[in-house]
Amino acid sequence: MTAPIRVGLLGCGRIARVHVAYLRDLPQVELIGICDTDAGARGAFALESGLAEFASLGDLLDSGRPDVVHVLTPPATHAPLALELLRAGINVLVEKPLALKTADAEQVIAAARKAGRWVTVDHNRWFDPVIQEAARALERGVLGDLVGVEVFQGAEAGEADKALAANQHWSARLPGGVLNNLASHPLYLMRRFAGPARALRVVTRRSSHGHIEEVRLIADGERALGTVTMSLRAQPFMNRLTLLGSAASIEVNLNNMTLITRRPRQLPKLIGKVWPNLNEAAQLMTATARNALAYAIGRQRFYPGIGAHLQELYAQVAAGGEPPVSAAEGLDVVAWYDEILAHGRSVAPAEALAS
Amino acid sequence: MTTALVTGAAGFLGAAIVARLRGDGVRVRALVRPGRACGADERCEGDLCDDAVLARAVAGVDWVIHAGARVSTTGPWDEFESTNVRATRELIRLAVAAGVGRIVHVSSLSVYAVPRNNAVVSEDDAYDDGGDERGSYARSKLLADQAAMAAIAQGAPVTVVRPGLLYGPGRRPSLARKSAALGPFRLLLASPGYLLPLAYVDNVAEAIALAAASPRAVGRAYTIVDVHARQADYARYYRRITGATWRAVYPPLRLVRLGATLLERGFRLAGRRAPITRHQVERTLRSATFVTRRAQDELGWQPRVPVTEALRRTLAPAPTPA
Repeated sequence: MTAPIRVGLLGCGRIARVHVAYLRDLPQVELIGICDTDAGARGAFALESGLAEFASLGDLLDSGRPDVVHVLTPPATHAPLALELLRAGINVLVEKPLALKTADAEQVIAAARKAGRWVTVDHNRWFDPVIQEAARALERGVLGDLVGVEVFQGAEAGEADKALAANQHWSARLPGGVLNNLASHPLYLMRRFAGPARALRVVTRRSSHGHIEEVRLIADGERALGTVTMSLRAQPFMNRLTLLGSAASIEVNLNNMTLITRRPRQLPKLIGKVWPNLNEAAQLMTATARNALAYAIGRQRFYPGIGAHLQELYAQVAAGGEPPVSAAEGLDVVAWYDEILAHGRSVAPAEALAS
Repeated sequence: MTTALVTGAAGFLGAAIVARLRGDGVRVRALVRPGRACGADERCEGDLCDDAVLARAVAGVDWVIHAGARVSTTGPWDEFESTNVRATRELIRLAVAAGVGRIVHVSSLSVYAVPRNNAVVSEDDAYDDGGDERGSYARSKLLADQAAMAAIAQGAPVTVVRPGLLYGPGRRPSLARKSAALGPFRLLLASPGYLLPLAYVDNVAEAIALAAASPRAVGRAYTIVDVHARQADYARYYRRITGATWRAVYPPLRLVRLGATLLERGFRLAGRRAPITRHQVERTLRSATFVTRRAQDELGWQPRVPVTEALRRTLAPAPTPA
């Protein structure tokens, strides 16, 4: 049996608990400990998890000797920490986004290349079972030719306002505000299905706080046209992906983990008004019942995409392969977000008034 | 060379403060009751309640660290009042009169009101108003804290430090307010999700030393908590370090609260104090996060001894002498 992969964690927030829970299921991984500059957060998590605590990154590297470190800290620290780790010869998984700025992401990738180590990003929703089901359907040709990809990203009611009002959560202080914390998901989902973009168009609208709250992005992807809608205020909040194919289309509800396939049918006009609705209802009922059962018997947990991603990542790494999320994908997401910020500025109402 | 008077220097926290200050090169005078050992440079024996003793103790020192208090859970209120409240007021008055530059009053987290479960509490939040139900110790510490804050309002160079649940070698954080062994189980009167505001004795001593030395700390109050540990996590870690084999059982606390209410009424009818009060159970149902950002920002304080290490030192069985 080969030696286990030694994994350490930086950052002891909510998502670290999810990573630990899933890493514990992986036989090829040995969890060596956790690290956070906030002694309170670190200590509480050390007692909760029973894992060793390291007071500094230096301690983690010297005493823990990790092969891989997961960077689960607030986004502004992702790139600096990834750089430090890669330069120390450690492979890195970063929570999304890879970096806040394109130049930083490029620097991280260059450091990985130089060190001969890998860096990957936790683009977890790609690995959600319902998204994988859509990807398999596309691969099997169920949709025919893919012509369009639409992703809708919403935000929970009040999430933005709360963070802004208190200005407490780190997400409120990110470039572009709380949007930054959500934007990765629709961007990488769109890129996965539509392919890398040859051109982008972006229109945004800002709130009176100056934070971007509405985004429309259109990408000329290598495989299809992709559109991303982000709306911080539309309620009830939705997270949806639609794949438009020449033979059929698929709609995924990421909040409720359901998938509907719509196929054209030659039906008499009267039945044609009724049948598609009944068919959709049946698909929804089946998927809902299946999900409820999966949760009830413990087969489905929260953040299933993180679990599936880590499983695939460590299977690949143990076999000497490449991480399933490329650094290039991480870079594109950061670059597109930069693009959103740049366009956002040109239509900011405050600036428009000032000029 | 800085000289400091430490009251309660023979006590659990006092001894750690003495060691810490001496390590920093401060000359320490200890106010202790006659016969009590302490590792200070200079002893001053006597009672906290004796003004003549206090006047002698504060003469010629730069700092006063007031860590002395009556900490027992029983006894007449008058004794708590004179040792914890009146002596604090007098000590500050005499220290100011003697020209002492810095006074650090060691208070307690119990002074804060916890208005609801999961409350976030910081230094400027309201005092608890539980009154007599809180028990004499907590009530006297509340009044002493108010006396120290009143002295600040009068311009005295006082800093108030409010540490969490103090622990360290020789004093284990208790597993619950009450606990009972039941064969392979242990019944813990606590909520598994309750947050224990742990404060390791050496980390608190460091905060006090920083508060005494920092010019910014004059007139300020600081909460000192290392970690908010869930009760169940602590119990699990406790078992792991001590090798205990019991399994923790947590009773439904709402029922316990009902029981305590009835018990309290019954005892009151009999004109006596109940062994457990509804207020005490309320507090186990209502945990809070005590914000320590101010100590980190203004004093540069960090709990340097990590909690897992501190608990290992505290819970590990004492090595048998060779």
